[in-house]
Amino acid sequence: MRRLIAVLPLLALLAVAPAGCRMRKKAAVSKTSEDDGQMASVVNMADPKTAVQLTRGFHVVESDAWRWTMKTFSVALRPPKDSERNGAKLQMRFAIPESLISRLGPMTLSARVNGVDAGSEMYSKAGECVYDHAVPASALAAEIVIVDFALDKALAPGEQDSRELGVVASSVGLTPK
Amino acid sequence: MTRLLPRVAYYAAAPIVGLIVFYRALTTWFLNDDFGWMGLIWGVRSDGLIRTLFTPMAQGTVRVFSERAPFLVFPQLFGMHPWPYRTLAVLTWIATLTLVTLIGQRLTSSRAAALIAAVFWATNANLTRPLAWASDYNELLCALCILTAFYARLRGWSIAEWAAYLFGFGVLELIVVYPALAALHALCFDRKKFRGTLPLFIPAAAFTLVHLFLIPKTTGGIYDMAFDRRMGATLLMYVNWAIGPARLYEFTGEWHHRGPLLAAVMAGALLIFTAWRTWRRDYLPLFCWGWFLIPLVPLLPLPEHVMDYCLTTPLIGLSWLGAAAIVRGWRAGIAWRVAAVALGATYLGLMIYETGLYSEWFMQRSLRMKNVVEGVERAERSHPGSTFLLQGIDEPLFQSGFEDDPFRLMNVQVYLAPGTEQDIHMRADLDGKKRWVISPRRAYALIEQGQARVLSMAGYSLRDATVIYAASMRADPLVFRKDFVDLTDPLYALQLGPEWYQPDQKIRWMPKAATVKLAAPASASEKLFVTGYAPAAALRSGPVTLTFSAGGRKIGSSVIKDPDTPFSLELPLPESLVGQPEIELKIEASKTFRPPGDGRELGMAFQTFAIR
Repeated sequence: MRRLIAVLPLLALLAVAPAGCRMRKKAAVSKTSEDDGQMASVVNMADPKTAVQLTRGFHVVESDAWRWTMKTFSVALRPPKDSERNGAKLQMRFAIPESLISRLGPMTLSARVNGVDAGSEMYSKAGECVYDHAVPASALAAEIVIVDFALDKALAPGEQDSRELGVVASSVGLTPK
Repeated sequence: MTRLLPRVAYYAAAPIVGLIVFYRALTTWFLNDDFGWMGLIWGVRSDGLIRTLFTPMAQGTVRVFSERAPFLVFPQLFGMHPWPYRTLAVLTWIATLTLVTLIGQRLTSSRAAALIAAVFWATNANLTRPLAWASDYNELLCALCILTAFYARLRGWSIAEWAAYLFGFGVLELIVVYPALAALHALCFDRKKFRGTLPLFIPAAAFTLVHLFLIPKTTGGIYDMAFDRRMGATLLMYVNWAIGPARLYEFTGEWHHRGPLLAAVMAGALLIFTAWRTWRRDYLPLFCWGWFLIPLVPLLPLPEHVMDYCLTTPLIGLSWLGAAAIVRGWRAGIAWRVAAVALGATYLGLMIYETGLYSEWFMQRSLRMKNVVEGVERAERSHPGSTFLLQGIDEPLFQSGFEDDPFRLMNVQVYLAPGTEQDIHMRADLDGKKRWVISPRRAYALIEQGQARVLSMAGYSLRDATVIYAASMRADPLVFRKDFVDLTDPLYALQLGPEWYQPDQKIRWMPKAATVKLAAPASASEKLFVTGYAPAAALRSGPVTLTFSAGGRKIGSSVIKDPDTPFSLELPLPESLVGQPEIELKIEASKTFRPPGDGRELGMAFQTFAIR
C-alpha cells in the first residue's frame, strides 16, 4: 500500500502538468483610455475602436471578424481627404450565406450618403460580395457623413435565430477615388 | 519531527494538488449575485441588522453564515476586493479536504484510499464555482458542516456533532439531509446506532416544514418544482457531470460523445465494484452511493435548476467509492491493479484538464466584468456625476452581472448605448430591458449637456468614445426624430400641449383632452404605442373611452376598464399621415372626475407615446 501512496504524487504531477504549462498566460490589463476624437473612414467590423461608428442595424461581432446586419443599417464615416472636391468610393465587403439566398432569392443593396443616393446593386449568388459605388462630392462636404444602407429583403426573426438577419458584413468605408 | 513531516505532507498533498489545479479559479473576480449581495448593507441601514440577517430572500433562503455575514462584513472591511472571499473559501476547502481524508481513513481503513479520495474531490471540475464564486461559498461551508458533524459522530463527540449540524441550518438548506446520511451509516455499519440518529431528524423535519409552508417564495421561473419523469433525467445529468469529464465538449467543442461515454464506463466499473463488495457483505460502496444520492434528492424536482455546484457534497461519496475501488483493485493482483490505476489516472487526468478549462473560462468571464465595473468607476472619478452609456456589451458579458446592477454599488447611472440592447436577452423577472434602455434623443441630450460619457468595450477594456459617438449622433437625423414622448421627463416638454398638468411621479394627468406632437410615421407599418395608468378613482363611475385623432382625423379608440392597472395600447396609423413633417396627436377622454380636495378636472393618466 505504501507503493500506491508513493505512486500518487507522480500521478498527480503528471495530471497537473497541463495546468502548469498554461501558467505563463497573463491576465488582460484594464484601461479606460479616451479616444482621440478622430473618426475612421473605413470601419472593420471586428475593430472595437470603431464600433461606435456603427450607429444602427448591426448585430454583435462574431468570430472576431464579422457582424450580421439587419435589413437596414447605418454607419458614420469620416470622408477621405479632398473628397469634398473629388468625391469618393463607398465600399462594403460582405458575404451572403447560401442558406440565406436559397430562402430569399437575389438581394438588392442600396445606400444613401447623407441622404444622397449612392446607387443600388443586386446580388444573386452566395459567397463573398462587394458593394462598390462612387459617391458624389456634394454628399461628402460634411466632417462626418451617415451612410444608410437598405436591403430589399432580410430573414425575419424566427425560432432558430431571434434576430432579423440581412447580410454578413466584414467592412464598410469611404476610400479616395 | 521525523514523524510529523510525512504526516503533514500526507494531509497537505490533496490541498496542494487542488490549489495547483484551481489556481485560475482563485483569481476570479465578482459575478452576478455577488453584486446583489454586496448591496445588503443598505438593508441594514433601512431595516436594521436583525431583519437583514434573518428575513428570507428569493427562494426563501436564510443563509446567515455563508452569504449574509461575509457579504455584510467583507465589503465594509476590504471594499470591493475578492481576496477575502477566496481566502475564506480556500480555508474552508482545506478543512473540508482534511475531513474527507480523516473520514476516508475510518471508512476504508486505508490511508491510500483516503488520500486518493481527497485528491479526487480536490480536483473535480464541479467545485469551480464554489471555490471561485463568493455567492456559491455556501456549498463549501455546508460540506464542511456535514463532514464535521459526521466525523464527530464517528468519534462519539455528540455535542460537536449537534453544534456542526445546527450551525448548518444557517449555511444551506441542504443540511436537512445530514440525519439521513447518519442513519444510512448506522444501517450499513452499526445498526445499534440507528436509534441514536432519530433525534437528528427533528430539526430537519421542522426546518423543511417551515421552509416549504411558512416562508413565502418567489414563484415561477427556474425554481418551479416538478414531480415528473424529468426527475430521472435530472439525476442522470448529475451522475454524468460527477463521474467523468462529461462537459469537456463545452470548452473544447470535442468529446461530445467520448466524455459521457467515459462517464458511463466509470459508472459501470463502480457499479460492478459495488455489486461485488455488497455480495461480500461489505456495505461501504452502498454507503458511498447513498452519500452521493441522498443530497441530490431535494434537487431532483427542480428540472430548470440543474447546477454543477450542487454536486459539492454528493461528490465526496463518489470520491470515497472510487478511491476504495482503486485500492481494492491494487490489492487484487496485477491485472486488476493495472485496470484500477489506468481508470483512476484517466479519470484524474481528464478531470483536471476539464477543471483547468472551466476555471479559466470562469475567471476570464469575471475579468471582463471587472474591467467594465472598474472602468466605469475610473470614468466616474474623471467625470463625477455623469451618466455612462456602455457600447459593445455583448450578451455573455451582460449576463455576467448586469442584471444584479453592480453600478448601483457605486451610485452611478449606467445605460446601454441606444440600440445595443437589441441582441441581449434579459430576464423579465429581473426587470428586463427597461432598466438599461435609453432613447437616442435622451442620450444625445445628456451627451451634449456634458452630463453623459460613452464608454466602449474594446476587447477586455473600456475606452471613452464620447467624442466619436457624439459626432455620429450629431450627423444622424434619426436621433432627432420626435417619435417618442415620456410625459414625466422634462426633456420632452416642448412636445406637449399646454393642457397637461404637472407630472405626478411616474404619470401625468390630462384634463378631458390634451395634445402631443410626434414625428409622422415613416411608413404605413408604423403604429402608435401608448402607455398609461388607470387609477381606480378615474374608473369609479365606469370605464373610460379614450379617443385618438391626428390631422383632424380619428385614429382609433380604446376602452380602459381595469382599475389601478397599467395599460398599453397599440393603434394603427392612417397611411395619409406618412411623410408629413410632424403630427399633432389629440387624446380625448369620454369623462372626467374631480378628486376631493383637488380642484383639477382629471381625464386619464399617461406615461409614454411612441411611433415605431
